[in-house]
Amino acid sequence: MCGICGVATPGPPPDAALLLRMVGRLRHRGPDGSGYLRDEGVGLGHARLAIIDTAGGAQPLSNEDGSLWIVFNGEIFNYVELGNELRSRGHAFRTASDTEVIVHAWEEWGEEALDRFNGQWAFALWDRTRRQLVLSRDRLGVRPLYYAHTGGGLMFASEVKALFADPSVPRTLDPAGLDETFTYWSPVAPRTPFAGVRQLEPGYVAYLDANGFRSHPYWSIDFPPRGEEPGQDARANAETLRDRIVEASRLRFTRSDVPVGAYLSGGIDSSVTAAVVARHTDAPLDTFSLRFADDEFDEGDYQQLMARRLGTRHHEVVVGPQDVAEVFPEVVRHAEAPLLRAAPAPLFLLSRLVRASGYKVVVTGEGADEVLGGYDLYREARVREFWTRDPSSDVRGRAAELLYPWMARAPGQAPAFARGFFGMHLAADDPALSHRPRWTSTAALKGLLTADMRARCAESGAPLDLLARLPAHSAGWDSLARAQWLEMTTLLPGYILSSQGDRMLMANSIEGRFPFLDRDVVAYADALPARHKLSGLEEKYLLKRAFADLLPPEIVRRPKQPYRAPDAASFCAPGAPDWVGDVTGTDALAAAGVFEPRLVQGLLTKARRSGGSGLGNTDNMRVLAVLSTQLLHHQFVVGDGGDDAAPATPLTAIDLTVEGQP
Amino acid sequence: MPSRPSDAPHAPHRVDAVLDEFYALRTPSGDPVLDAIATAIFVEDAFGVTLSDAEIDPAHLAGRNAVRNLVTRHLA
Repeated sequence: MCGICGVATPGPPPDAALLLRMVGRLRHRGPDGSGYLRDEGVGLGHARLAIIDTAGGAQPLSNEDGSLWIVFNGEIFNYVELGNELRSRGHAFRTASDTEVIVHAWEEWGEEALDRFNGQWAFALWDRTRRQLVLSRDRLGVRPLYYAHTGGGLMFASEVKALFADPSVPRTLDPAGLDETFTYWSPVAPRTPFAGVRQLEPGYVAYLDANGFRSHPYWSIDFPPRGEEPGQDARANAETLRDRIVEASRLRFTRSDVPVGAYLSGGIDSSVTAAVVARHTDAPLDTFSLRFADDEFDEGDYQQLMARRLGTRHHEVVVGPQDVAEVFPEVVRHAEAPLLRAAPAPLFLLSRLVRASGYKVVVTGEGADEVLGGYDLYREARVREFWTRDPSSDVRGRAAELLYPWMARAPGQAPAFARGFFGMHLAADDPALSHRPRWTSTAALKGLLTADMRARCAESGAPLDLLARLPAHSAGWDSLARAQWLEMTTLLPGYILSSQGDRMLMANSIEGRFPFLDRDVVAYADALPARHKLSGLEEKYLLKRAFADLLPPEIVRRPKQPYRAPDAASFCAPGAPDWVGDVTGTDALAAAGVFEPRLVQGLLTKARRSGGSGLGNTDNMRVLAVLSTQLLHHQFVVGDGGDDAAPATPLTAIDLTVEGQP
Repeated sequence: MPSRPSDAPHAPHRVDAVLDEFYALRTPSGDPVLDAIATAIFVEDAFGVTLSDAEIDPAHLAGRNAVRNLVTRHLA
């Protein structure tokens, strides 16, 4: 895992000083070394976190004749098999790295190489012969890749703050990006929170050459028509799913030259990956867990149960509201996006624990909820779909009472609220039937916006633009598949893998690996009958069946507990840090021009009255939206997001504009 | 609604297998009415049928045999 950046320009070769400044801003992603390449028309930069071929894998790296150069962030987990195939076809390798496999694979197969990669990546290839820059991002958006068009040229980087190392890149918040955030929880690629800054969509490849910039998908999320799934037998499907997850976990644990640890959240997903690693590898396993001082959020009993069962060396960090408040500005600086939950902050503290324990790679359970039908939102959708068949039916309306048995104020104990919330916008032909309540409740945040910002946000087109991107044949999918498509297009890459994933891990130089997002696991899961993912209201049905023998029944049978952290309570109790007052002062709010100061003051007064703990879900989101957006403005618009560290050494400097190199 | 391939869950010979899947991991709530609703949600989704309000009732949905009879009737 690393950070990459670069500049393409029709003018003189990019300035080495700018490349070094960009690389320096990515140092947290790659503290083990750095490098850059200058050529006529392009510069590539790299910050290295050395994991595979730690001695020989420095970048930028080229093919045999130096005609094709790469900077790469990520892992190609099947690089050993691909390398063997490429050697048999005559390619000569100078390193044992997965990076070099990409170069030779591109030479051999061109864009088709992307289909062969099983991994998580963002890379830039510079083809000197064709004078062509190629950018690519993995299928589901595990690794980030941002770009900005600049006066006939292009800049790209793993993080926006590296683009802002060039002061000529405009730094303003994008109302359309904010509008999407205040609807879906994050902008949807290619949009970002910043005007003029784009992100390459997951599953896309882009080219820049004499014909200009263009991009297209090499892969897309797809499902078979309902009823035509190839395998209908649950026992056989469970066996195959298990085989695929075991192989995906094994690859992610063993394809590393440094030790790999595992997260244990107390839920089934990370328990499966840790259990598989413990059972199918010989190496001792270190596990890492997040604890909360508040029992409402803590899952320590389940984490320790699993750690004891696996016999791991277990590490914990206990987080309280003050810890969240203290690191939140740093969290936003790394997330580079407004946050509607404080949940990324504890994950930042967890990755710090991993780093302090001497690790730089962890396997986690991310992606299982999206791919295998684990989210409560899918259960809500199933209830809503049931209800749409007769909205006037009292007995169907009672289905909402089956949701959230884990909540103290469960809908079962508040039927009127449950019916009102889950019964909103019931329309059987709505392709977003699953997401409508979440989008509607999130959009309540827009009531805090200034009139000007509200008008500019309205131009974004959300959510109609998103629904227009649903494949035409999705009408034949199971409704769960449509919900999965929406989730895997919005929240997964935009928030789960980014603000809670890559950014919180890489902030402390930790690489995350996600077996449930393995190419072959995803392909198999997408083709499963929906009832093998969500069986009635039983989530992750097949996963539970497949691994029941490896997990304590307490974990298999426990109701799903979404990962949550103290939100407004972290910032509105007495003793809140000074920055809260600084970014919510009238001057700061007016400078950003996003939120109406009078409304923000009213919200904060209400929140402080109860120490933040008595707020409902919408007000909690409002507080987080205000604080994080204001921090984002302060850090990236008033400031430039920078932390101008020197690039890590050793430094690999390649200047192809100078004769004799290399 | 797609056609009914012979291996689809609503093919008559698959009913027992699909119900076996459901009962293998079912978690009763303890409330017979809510359990009947949860079973109805599964039945409608898995078999592509729509039950009447009168059928969404423990009398028709309590126990595997009762559910099998109900589903078979709807698929006939």
